[in-house]
Amino acid sequence: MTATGSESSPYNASSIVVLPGLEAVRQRPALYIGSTSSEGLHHLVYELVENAIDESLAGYCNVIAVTLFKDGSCAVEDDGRGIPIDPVPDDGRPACEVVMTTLHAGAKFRKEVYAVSGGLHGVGLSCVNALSEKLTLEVWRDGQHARQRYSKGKVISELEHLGASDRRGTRIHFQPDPSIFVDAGHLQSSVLQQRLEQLAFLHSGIHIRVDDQRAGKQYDYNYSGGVTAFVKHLNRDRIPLHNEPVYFRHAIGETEIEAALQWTMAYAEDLSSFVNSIHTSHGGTHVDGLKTALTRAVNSYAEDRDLLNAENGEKISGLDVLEGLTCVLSVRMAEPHFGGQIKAELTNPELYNVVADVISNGFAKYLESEPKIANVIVGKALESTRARAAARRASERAAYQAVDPTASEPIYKKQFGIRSSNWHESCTWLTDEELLATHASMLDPNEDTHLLDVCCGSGVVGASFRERVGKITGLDLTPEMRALASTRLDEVIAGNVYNLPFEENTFDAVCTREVLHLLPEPQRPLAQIRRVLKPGGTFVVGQILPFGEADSAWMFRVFKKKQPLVFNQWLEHEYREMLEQAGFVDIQMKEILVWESIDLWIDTWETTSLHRHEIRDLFYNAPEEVRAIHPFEVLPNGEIRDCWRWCIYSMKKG
Amino acid sequence: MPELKGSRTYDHLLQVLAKEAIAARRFDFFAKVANLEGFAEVAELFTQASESEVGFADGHMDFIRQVGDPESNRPIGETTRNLTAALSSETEDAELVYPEMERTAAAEGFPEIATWFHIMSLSKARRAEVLAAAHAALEEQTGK
Repeated sequence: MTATGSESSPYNASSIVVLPGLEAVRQRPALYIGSTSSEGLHHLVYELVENAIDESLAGYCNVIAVTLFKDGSCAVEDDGRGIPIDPVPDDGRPACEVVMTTLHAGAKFRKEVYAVSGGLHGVGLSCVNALSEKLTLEVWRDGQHARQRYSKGKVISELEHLGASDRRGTRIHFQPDPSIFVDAGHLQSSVLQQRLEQLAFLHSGIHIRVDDQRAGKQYDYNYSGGVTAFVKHLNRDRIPLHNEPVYFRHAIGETEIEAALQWTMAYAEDLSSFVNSIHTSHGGTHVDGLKTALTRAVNSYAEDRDLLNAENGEKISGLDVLEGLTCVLSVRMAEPHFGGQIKAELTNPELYNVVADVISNGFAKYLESEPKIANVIVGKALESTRARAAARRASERAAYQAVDPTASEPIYKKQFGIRSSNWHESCTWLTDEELLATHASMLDPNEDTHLLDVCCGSGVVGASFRERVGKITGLDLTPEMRALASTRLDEVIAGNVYNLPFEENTFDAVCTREVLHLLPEPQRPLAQIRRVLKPGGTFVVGQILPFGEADSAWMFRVFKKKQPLVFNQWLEHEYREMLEQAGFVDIQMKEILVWESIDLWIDTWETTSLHRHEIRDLFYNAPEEVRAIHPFEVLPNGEIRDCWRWCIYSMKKG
Repeated sequence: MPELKGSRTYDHLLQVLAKEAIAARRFDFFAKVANLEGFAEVAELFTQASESEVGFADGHMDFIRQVGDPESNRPIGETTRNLTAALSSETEDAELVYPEMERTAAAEGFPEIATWFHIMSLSKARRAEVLAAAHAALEEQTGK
């Protein structure tokens, strides 16, 4: 990338507009950086990096280096023009001092200097300064090297001239003020990496380096290929339905719209949107415009070719079009407005039509010109429309047929058959070692022990006893699952847990986990398990349970939306009572907490797109009573991690 | 002026309170779907409708509350009375309403709805405990 900034709009002390008051930032930091939690802390770094990116957009900066120091401080350095250090007219102080110590002092308020500005409306530098215990600014500019130190937004040393230098650029080394960021923890390298990688994709050619001195690791982000490369990168672990992402770029006046789209075999959508490189994680008018346009184009393509069933008024909904879509939408515009709680949503109403028109026209043309890919994309959307309709009918039928629990057998078979293709990737608890080890620790077997793994799935639970038992038999409904399990267990038998195909008193031990909530009338499978156990034999069962009454309704809604075949949920004491009533004695329980990424867990066939969004909303808007007892976290990148309370029971056949 | 309590008009007020409260939830849901489908303007329409419905429901409450609590029929107004009214309806939900519904759902072959009603009765019982504690604390505080 070459620095091509025009010299006609001078960037010097006279283009800085001064507005008063930094103490306000320290008093109400959340107003300026969103929050004083982890998200706000990371925001400090983004502010500095985005300032450097503005320099690069203006054409003056190629390399940005971020250093994470062992003492928790961070430095951001660029090779831009350097913040002006000459005295401000009518003020006398060096321009950099004014920028660092005055709220809203930034050239970004003068539109002609930066056409499209990314940082927080120019308040960035002074906010970072105000919220830093210590901050050192170094500037290389006009053949000079200068340095100034600050603390909590105030100057603590005059601008020092350190001599001549032919470098240019700015380096800001800051230590976040722990009295502000009380509960924010430390800057997390992984979180920063994700954001900086985004920025590197959005600004093809720019070089962003991260030196994590705490972990002794360096990262280097330098991409060409823009949003198209970004989409391919996001899809690196997914199976794409077409090789090349669909790409659009269109400029209207000062507004430039760029988008890349690629559909994959995944179910969840992955839609990243940016406005002047700010990540609009809550979407907004630009994203709405995109959704409408895609729906419009796909429907009209399908209508023109008589692909829709006109008799029953079939229409492809927006949610169906988005299924499996990975998209990066990047908008550059003057004067964006951001709304929502964390200012992560674009609110400019005019952008809706602008984006809708651009994408709608572009996408319709693309579909016309690429009939093969069009058939794949439209076919996938149509398939999901029909699958959703079928799922609705099936769940109606399932509810009706639940009077006879075995009637849902074909539904289980289909569901777990589809999921078997990436079973272990569908959530992390399946192969969580501590969880498996806890199950294994609940049984005291010997080399003659014959173990039955009921509803064995891929057989990992049964296999966790492998070293210590004589023989492991698995049982599962689904042929795909039996194939998976047969690589781990000694034999795998087809069968239904409501009617176990074994004689009474056959096994020394039985194990299963996270199954009973899926079974109507769970007393019946429990009675079956007890029947095939030898007298004195052990049953080991694991189950995710709510933390208490206060999170049980909320959790039931989450689990039921994740997968419709959830029939039961118990409080811990209710679960224990059910086991006792089934005739088990000597009930022991171990409890472990396992963190699970929700985004992975809900990216499945049986979770509809609407439900995926509703599940996220349930976390975002979880009632205070739920938060008080049920730990979960929303990471700065929007990922939701839930903490599951696993209760693992062992008991004897009494 | 005729007595509002016991009148058909009072019954109507109770009916439309329920109706508007339901409408507010429906329109919120419709707004969410419209948002997801990218119809922001329709979503905004539904959101505004939902907000209005809440206002309408509150308007009905303005009349109803002169007579009493629409759920428990107890007098309401100041906080100690409101706590008693809330405690009464939450307890009834926990002990009678939801358990009965749970049994019906199970008998009719809707096991997951039976589970949901069961969870609700537990949640309501817990809420009743919290309200009872708040009520006791308030009585203590106000020296009753």
